[in-house]
Amino acid sequence: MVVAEHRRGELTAATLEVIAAAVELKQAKDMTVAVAVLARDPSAFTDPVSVAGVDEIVNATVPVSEFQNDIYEAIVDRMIDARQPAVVLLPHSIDAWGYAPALAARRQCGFATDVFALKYDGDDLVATRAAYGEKMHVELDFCGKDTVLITLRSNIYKPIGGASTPAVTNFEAPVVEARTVATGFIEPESAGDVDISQAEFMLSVGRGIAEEDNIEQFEELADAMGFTLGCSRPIADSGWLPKSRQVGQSGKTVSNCNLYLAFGISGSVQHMAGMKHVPKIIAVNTDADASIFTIASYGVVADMFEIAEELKNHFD
Amino acid sequence: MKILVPVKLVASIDEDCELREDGRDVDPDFLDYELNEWDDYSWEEAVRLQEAHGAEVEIIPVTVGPAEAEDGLRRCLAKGGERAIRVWHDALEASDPMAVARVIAKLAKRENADLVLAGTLSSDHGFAATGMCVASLLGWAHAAVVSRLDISPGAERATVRRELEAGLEEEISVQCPAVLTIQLGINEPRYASLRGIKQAKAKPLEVVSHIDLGLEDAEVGESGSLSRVRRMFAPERGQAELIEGTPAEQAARIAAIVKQATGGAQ
Amino acid sequence: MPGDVTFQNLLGHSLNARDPFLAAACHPHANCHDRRALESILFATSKLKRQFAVARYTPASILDSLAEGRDERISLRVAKHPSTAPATLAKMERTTTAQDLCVRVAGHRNTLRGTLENLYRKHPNSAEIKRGLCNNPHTPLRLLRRLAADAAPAELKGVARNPEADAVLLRLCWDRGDLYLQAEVAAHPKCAPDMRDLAERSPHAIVRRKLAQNPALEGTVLMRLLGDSEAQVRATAVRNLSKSMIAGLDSGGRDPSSQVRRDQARHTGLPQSWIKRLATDSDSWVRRLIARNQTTSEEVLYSLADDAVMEVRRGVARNPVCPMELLLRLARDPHPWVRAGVALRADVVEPLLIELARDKDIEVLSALGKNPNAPIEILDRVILHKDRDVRRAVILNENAPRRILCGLLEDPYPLNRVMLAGHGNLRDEDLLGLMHDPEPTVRFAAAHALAVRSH
Repeated sequence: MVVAEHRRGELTAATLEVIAAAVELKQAKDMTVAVAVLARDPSAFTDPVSVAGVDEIVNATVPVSEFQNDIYEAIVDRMIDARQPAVVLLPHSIDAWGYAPALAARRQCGFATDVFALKYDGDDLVATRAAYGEKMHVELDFCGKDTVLITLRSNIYKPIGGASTPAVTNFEAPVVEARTVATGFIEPESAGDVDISQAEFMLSVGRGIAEEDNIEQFEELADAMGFTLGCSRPIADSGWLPKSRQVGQSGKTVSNCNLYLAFGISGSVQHMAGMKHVPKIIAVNTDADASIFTIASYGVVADMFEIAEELKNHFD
Repeated sequence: MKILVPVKLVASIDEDCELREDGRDVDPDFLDYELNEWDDYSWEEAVRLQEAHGAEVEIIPVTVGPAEAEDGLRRCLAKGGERAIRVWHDALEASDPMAVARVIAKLAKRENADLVLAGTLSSDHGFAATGMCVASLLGWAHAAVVSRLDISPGAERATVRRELEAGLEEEISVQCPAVLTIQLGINEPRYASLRGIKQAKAKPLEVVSHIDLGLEDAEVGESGSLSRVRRMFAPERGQAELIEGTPAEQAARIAAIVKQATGGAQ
Repeated sequence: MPGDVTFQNLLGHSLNARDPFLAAACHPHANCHDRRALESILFATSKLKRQFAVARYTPASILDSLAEGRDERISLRVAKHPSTAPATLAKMERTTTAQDLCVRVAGHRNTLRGTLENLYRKHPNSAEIKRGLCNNPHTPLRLLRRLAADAAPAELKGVARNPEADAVLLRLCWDRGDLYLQAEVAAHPKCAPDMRDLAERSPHAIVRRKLAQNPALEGTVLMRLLGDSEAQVRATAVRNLSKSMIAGLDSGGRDPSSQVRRDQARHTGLPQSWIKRLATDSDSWVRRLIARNQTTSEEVLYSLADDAVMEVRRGVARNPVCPMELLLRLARDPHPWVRAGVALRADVVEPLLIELARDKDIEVLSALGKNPNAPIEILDRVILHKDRDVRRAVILNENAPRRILCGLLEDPYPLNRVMLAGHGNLRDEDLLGLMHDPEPTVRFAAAHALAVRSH
């Protein structure tokens, strides 16, 4: 069983990835895939979740239009009681963080979060997740639990194309006391001045820059690429770039960054504290053993100026 | 208002580490410990509440871990709070978030806590689960990934902001008592003063076991967990993919990665 | 500053305290006998050994002792450490047969040619070692030739960039290489004239561009490349122009490509006619670069100081030839980043610094804190600032007097204390105090400073 997730009337992309994982699992073990939709008007999501491989849609009408943890926890709990699914899959999303562990604790079912691979070994479900900051992988099993609740990492499973016409059933949702009440969304602030914590793409420079006059070349490149310029502490300390550009412990965390391009940054603990969580990090450094490479997704052992010079020609 | 703040030391490893003989975890000799980053923020939030309301608020850092874990508690006490609690027993080894949550929930009950502020997740295993498990065991209201907290001692409700995906936030009102998990950036954690570090050494640190809290061995450790580690292994490819060739060739590859990530908008 | 703490005092203190971080600071300065005593503290646990083998501050003498231990994992870490000495690397090469260790030694920038030659002699068939050798700038020409004979194209890329490579080797690279390799050959100063001709006629912009970058290129070729159809080639050629060549050109500042005009604006040998034209360029990057250019005349700087783009005005404030009168004006700029640019200058007069000290902006205040001419009243205020980065500015100020620095000995931010320990104006007694700091890196930094002073 998959629990669909939606926000502001839109099904989240992660839900389709989770459905894809469920369909893959069903083929391995001869099961059926049901998608639970909890919404004020569940029928609005019937089309988007009717992708190939889905056998059934279970609708539960709830009195809120957005996610509420008590309601989700109680209704999914009842659904599991009624339907006894072997596996319940959720996205490893902020909303799931808010109720999946509580649900697992309530049911004492098998439970693992941030899983990126699932398989069956005989009758045992085996889930793989990361440990020690992605440096290790761990295989978990759930000895003897009838139901296993899993939250799945995003961008691992590819959504399946193709439509289906699953059976639609209605689930009589219990009345749940909601102990939290949402009062509204707050949009991300559009930064008038530069706010690197909001930047999606960052280009940062470090000590390797050597001279103040070299900063401009990288500002220019960042500008051409549509990236926000950041720096490591020594650069801000020298007064070459404003402190508002400084990434790290003394400085800012680039919490919304998806791609981080580090030029001439060796990777001090202070700096990495502000950017190590970024999903894609490209590090350029002459020192092949610079610490930054231990957290980078792509390592480029080269002179930062040469790479910048070359890169410029790709972004006119 | 009594605030319980569960903190933990997180372990990090280098590439050349070795596994334990049973292959289910890293040889402890290769683990380097530090206080979980998220816990710096949850503790800071507690310290600020304490400073704002004085004697009306008591804040207690607690941890589940062996003697070395006291270092994390002392770090907290150097910034504020008057006492700390550490829970340990060999039976707690290999506890998952559920098993740890049982201990913390028992502590919260014993202390008559009104609020539990936990880190959203820990940087070593990243379960993002312990806090919400505690809430369920206590039967309290809860909210995860809190990026702003507004609460007064004795109030029936707290107003919090949750940080959602893509920078969007949601404001919600939460019934008290509650368990909240705190997100990075909710505040700017302070550094302990040298005087604070000295004073922390003298503050009382109570050590108890799960048995003292009324838990059975079967409720903690692996038997009290909702999953079991089969094996641990180093992923096949190292973290970084090395981009090779001449600088022009390397730059061409970087440009391709960048353009793919930005949707070729540039 | 004369030290009253002798090295023997420091050593005795470190041995008594059994503090590995103090011991690490003493190690390079100790004799053989004392080193052994220090190592019993430094290498007490395998965890400490691992930590020192990777820590960036670990001195070469400790790395050498770590390598002596013959623990392969530790040696591998040492072979990756940038501070590892040539003698240590040579010793590793002599005593190990481990392939991965040899690969590391082959690639290390501190490995000298004798060691590199030995590696090739002992491992002539290891692709990984050969690759390291191809890329190592210390690899001698005769070894490069042998390597190139059967090197894969990817390895030749290292050869083509090696400063030791000669015309013969480069020709071999050109013949066997792809576009990227040929481009590297074109950029090499030892590339023969006939190959440069080939490069100049190449249909690929990248090859012509790399040629335009060649420092040994004849003026006539460079002039031709200035007229290339591709902006990237013209821009690169502009940067390679000598002052005298530029003086003979009259087309400056009119190139249709802003990329080319930016590279013109960077050039430090521009005639004033070019500068005047570029100073009014529609591209603000061009104006920024002119504002920073030391060739720019006062007259042009005055006009750029009124530019609507803040970064252009900041450029003027940072230009070493900017006159004092203009700096006075820029010190009142509405944008703090421009004012900070003035406050950062070591050549401004004290009254101006005092005026700037009324600013509330953290950029301006930290620039003042770092300013070697800042009067003590300013520093007194800056060290009380609530922002740790602003306070650190005073630690970075070489002229900050001891009395001011003492106010930061208990700064709550550990990094500030680490950096403070390196300040020359502290007394030995201050450093002795820092040797009791709760933060290991502060203790190391303090002991390191004392050890250096006592020698």
